[in-house]
Amino acid sequence: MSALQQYINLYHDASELVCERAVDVLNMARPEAERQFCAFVDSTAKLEDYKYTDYKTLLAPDYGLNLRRLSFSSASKYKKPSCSIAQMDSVVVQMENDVPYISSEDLARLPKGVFVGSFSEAAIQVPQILENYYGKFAEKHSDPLTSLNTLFVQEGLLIFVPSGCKIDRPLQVISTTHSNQPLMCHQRLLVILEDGASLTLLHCDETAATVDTLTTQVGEIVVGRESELQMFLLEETGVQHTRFHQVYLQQDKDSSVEWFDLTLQNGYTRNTLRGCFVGENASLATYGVALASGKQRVDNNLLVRHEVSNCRSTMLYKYVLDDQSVGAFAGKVYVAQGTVKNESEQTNANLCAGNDARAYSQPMLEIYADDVQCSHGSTVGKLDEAALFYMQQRGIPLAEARLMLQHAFVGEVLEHIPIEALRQRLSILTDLRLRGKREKCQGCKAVDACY
Amino acid sequence: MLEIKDLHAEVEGKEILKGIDLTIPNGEVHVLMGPNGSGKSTLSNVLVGHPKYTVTQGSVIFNGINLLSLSAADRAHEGIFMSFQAPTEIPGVSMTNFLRAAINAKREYHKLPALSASDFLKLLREKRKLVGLDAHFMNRGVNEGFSGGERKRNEIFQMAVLEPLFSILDETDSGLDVDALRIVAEGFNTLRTESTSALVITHYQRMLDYLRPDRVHVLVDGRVVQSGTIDLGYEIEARGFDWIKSAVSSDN
Ligand SMILES: Nc1ncnc2c1ncn2[C@@H]1O[C@H](COP(=O)(O)OP(=O)(O)OP(=O)(O)O)[C@@H](O)[C@H]1O
Ligand SMILES: [Mg+2]
Repeated sequence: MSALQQYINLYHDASELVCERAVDVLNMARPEAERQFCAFVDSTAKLEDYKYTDYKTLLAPDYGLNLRRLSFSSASKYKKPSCSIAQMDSVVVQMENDVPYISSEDLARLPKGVFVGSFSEAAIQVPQILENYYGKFAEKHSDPLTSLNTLFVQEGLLIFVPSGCKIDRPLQVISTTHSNQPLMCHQRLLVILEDGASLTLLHCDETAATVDTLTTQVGEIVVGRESELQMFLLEETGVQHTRFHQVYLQQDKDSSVEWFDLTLQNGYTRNTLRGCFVGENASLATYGVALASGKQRVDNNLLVRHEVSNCRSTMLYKYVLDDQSVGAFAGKVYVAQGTVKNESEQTNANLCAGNDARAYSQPMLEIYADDVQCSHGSTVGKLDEAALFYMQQRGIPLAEARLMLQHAFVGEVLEHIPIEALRQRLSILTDLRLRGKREKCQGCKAVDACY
Repeated sequence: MLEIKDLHAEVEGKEILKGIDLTIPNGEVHVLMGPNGSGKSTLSNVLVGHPKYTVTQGSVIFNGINLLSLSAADRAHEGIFMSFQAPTEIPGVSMTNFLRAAINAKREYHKLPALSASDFLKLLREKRKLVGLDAHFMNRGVNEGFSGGERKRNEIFQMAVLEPLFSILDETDSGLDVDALRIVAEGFNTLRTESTSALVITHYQRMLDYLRPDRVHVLVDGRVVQSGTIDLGYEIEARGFDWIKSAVSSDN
């Protein structure tokens, strides 16, 4: 049996169970997802999008799925997490596997009209929003992991910010994988910013499991006219964790999105971002940092579609790869025919700190318009020998000098983080990670203790 | 005291230093002159432990320590400093962080506690004044976007902060305007003590005027071919190197 066929079989055997414990909107999307997924099962063609990630092999192990939705957590549901980034005063949503929890105190701190909660809760309180948006963006793309997610997903998190509403404090989603046996978990996120809304979202992925786990995460994000989104994704999982993260982002006129994706600790990570401008004058600035060592792998795959005129997109992704780790970056900008004055800039820089580390870099442009300004560049390099020696001459030991240069290298990405407290915290986390002092997220208390 | 004996060194398989003997007692400043390519920077790099240069013969003893057996960082901790002929840029590493790491590494080596934040900032402020380096340079990356002269000034600033026992100044004067040269040279002079010494590489008389070195040595083709007082330096300034070179070749 092929790696993928087992999921079709499982779905056939358990579809009742899957559907029974999920809201209708999710169930209604399954037949199409099944059709799409079956096409991948039957096909032997190599997918260009998965050039650097052998998803079939990664899906081959026999993970368990928690279709009966047993609780893994012995802790109380509303336990305040230890993560609290100084001075940020964020509203916290805890995700345990696929289930979001938010305390009533935190709910009360959100402006009126904002919805933050589970899909089951949304189906009761704001059914129309769930119906209007769920699956409308992801399913247009043909992607095996997205189909798999839609096929099995049973719960998710909806964040809805109504027209004109600007949430002044950050929303922090702390997503933790819990399991005492091999587990595959499907998570779903839907973020809707109506016109003139703004949101800062910090999404932390961590793991409490010490067994093999795999998550598929599908996010659909809609950013309305003149809306602003700041998104920070931080992964600090572990070597036994495989993570497929797919985001479908749609931006309307005059909107702006700043996107930061940091992989500090992981097993195998594939981040997919599909951005699309449907209204003019919109901007999307993406930034990424990946720190990998041992046998860790990070594959960032981005596509931004300029379907209309006067939009701007940038990508700045930096990797520090040690030992036998592998980093891949594929960034593509598409500019549609008939559009004018689109701008894009792509930069991918890799530092191979270990001799056996490998970096694959593939910046691409697909342009059907004349009046554009697009640039791209990629580099794979080693630490600057002259700088290393200069530092040693001043008394800085080689190991420390290397760390400082690596930190400076990714610092060029971190410096774009617009929130001072977060920038500092992420800079410290990066430093600890490079020093090998942080195997996984240990909460912010551990960080405070070091500084 | 720094004692260099019969030092031979090569780079990329080519012998550059061909048996150098040089002794610099504590409290003294010696000047090293010599034509381009004669090996002055090579000697400096060998003394500070640059990995590209291989010592094939000879010894370097510094205050009783076999310098050649130490790593570059440990040589720095023992008090060796080099003002680079072409200081490197280190984008993204601020001067402040760089110097804090350097000072605290040295303190750790000598089993001293790390400097407190306020003591450290006070030290930087004090030493900046000595060489007239503006405060805003501290937040910039090391030498990042510094002009040629600013880099040289920054080298002496670092020397002032790190308080080495033995300093090598490799053409620190070149690139400095007349006023900057005076400030830097005066700064250097105020750092001199009974227990410090220096080897100053220069092509120009002005440096001799300011530093009043105890000895002047001339390096030709990897060997010290002549040593003398400051007058030897002035003679070279007036007559060039050819007369020494021909004197050396007629000796051979
Ligand atoms: N890293 C290196 N790789 C190759 N050759 C080198 C290297 N460093 C020095 N050399 C060679 O060694 C010789 C001596 O160079 P060095 O830089 O020591 O001269 P110098 O006396 O400092 O000259 P200048 O007055 O021009 O600074 C030169 O021929 C130079 O090309
Ligand atoms: Mg030189």
